[in-house]
Amino acid sequence: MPGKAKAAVIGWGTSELSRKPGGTITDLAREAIENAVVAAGIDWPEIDGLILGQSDILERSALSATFRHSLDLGNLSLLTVSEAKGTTVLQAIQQASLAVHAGMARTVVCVFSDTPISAAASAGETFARPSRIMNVNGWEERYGCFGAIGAYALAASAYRARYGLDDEAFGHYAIACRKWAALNPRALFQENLTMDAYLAAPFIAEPLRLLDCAAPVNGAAAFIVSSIDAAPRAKAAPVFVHGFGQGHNKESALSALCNGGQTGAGPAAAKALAMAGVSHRDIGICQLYDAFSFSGLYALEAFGFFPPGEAPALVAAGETSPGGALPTNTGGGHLSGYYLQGATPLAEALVQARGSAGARQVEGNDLVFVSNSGGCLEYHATLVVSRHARLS
Amino acid sequence: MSDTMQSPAPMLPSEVFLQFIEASELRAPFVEERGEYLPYHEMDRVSNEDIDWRVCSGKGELAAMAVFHRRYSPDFDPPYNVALIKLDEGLLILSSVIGEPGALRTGARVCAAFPRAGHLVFELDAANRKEQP
Repeated sequence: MPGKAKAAVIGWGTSELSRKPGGTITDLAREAIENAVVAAGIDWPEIDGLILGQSDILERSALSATFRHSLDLGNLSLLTVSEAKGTTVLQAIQQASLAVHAGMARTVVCVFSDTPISAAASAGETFARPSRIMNVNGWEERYGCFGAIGAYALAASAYRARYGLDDEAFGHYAIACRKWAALNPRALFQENLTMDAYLAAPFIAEPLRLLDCAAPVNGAAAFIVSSIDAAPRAKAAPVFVHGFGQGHNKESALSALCNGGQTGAGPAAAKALAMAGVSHRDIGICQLYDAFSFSGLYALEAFGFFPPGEAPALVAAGETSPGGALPTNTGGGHLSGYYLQGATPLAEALVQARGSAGARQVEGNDLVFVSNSGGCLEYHATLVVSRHARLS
Repeated sequence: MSDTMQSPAPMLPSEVFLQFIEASELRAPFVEERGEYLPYHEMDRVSNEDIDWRVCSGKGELAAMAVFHRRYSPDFDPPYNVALIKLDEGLLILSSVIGEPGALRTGARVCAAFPRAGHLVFELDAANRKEQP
């Protein structure tokens, strides 16, 4: 049913987001939910669904169904734990939207909580487990291929080779994101970023430098998804969910990148846009999961907004920067804003769609495209959101 | 797959692959029924008895390379590289490449080597070195 929204996000909130150790998964989650409930202006008994987004770096038990007892909730008609690598948050919103659209629940809280930074380990160390590429026991350990960054650096290397890119290609992306962050008081890094400073940053896993990498935080975010008919009770203007999609292709993403193939990103975007009944040209703002500069560039192409191989030049020309034709990651994204996995792009999409982004508010905010991706571009989930309940 | 004491599980293709590597042999899993090689990361989907373990030429192309500049383990002194090689058989394999850093670029021809028993690496192909004086 293109034209009519499937669900509405009526409120959202975060816990404190911190680069320092502190806070437990459940304390942070509770804080975020409390803030979201206050923001939505609803009463606790109205909540009848709870979807717990589980970060894949945590123990399985970190956020389980028993967490519902630590909240002052009534009887629930939906309770589940969701985990799908970097796509967990958007998948939770999709599940909640399906549930309220089908009438299974009316008001579903989706929460995601993560603590990559501990007293014992920096975020870099937490994420530095052996990459899983070959599915052969101990193989990556033999070569010292550690962390998400190992796989992403290989992917970035293949992408550079395919299009003959130089060292500045990723830098332009990082700089474009920093320009947005300068307008966002909540962004972690707001100071001006020059190409010289970008190039002077040390390599972590070449071709990726320090400033090509996300800035993880400890924290949680909660989003309240409501049925359309119940949305008007919210205190502030709802943001409507019009389309959603996923794509997880048979060929591995690293293989696709090395062989000129496709990942599931394209189908995930096509599905969401078709469900909303809109096209790429209608999208005013993109909020992409860009844990590494390269993955933001790749996303712009793979989701179909820029032609293959052209994102680096278009980003360098300012297309995604403030004042550009396709404002992208307007809060600074994962690189300059903060990295709370899939919650980062969603939260900024909602702020922009509602028109409450302050100095960084984009005028053409009728339709916002949001993406989550995980497993080194293996898994993709997307949303199309709008402040309009109906799209004509 | 069963891990009970009574009936030992048959070896997984990835375990068989590792046995060949320990014997300093690079082999690729060919499935007669499909008439094609299985990607290494998917080989455990099939039963090992359906695999014809073909000896690889060892030749291929450097498809992607990451140079680690941080120390993640006491066993690896940075900088060191990790690479994806596209074998002439069409399979991608994760390994590392030996050679002058400046000469290691994507697209270069490489061939498999075992500088010590059971440790697979790739080195720049001799033919490749002639092309790049």
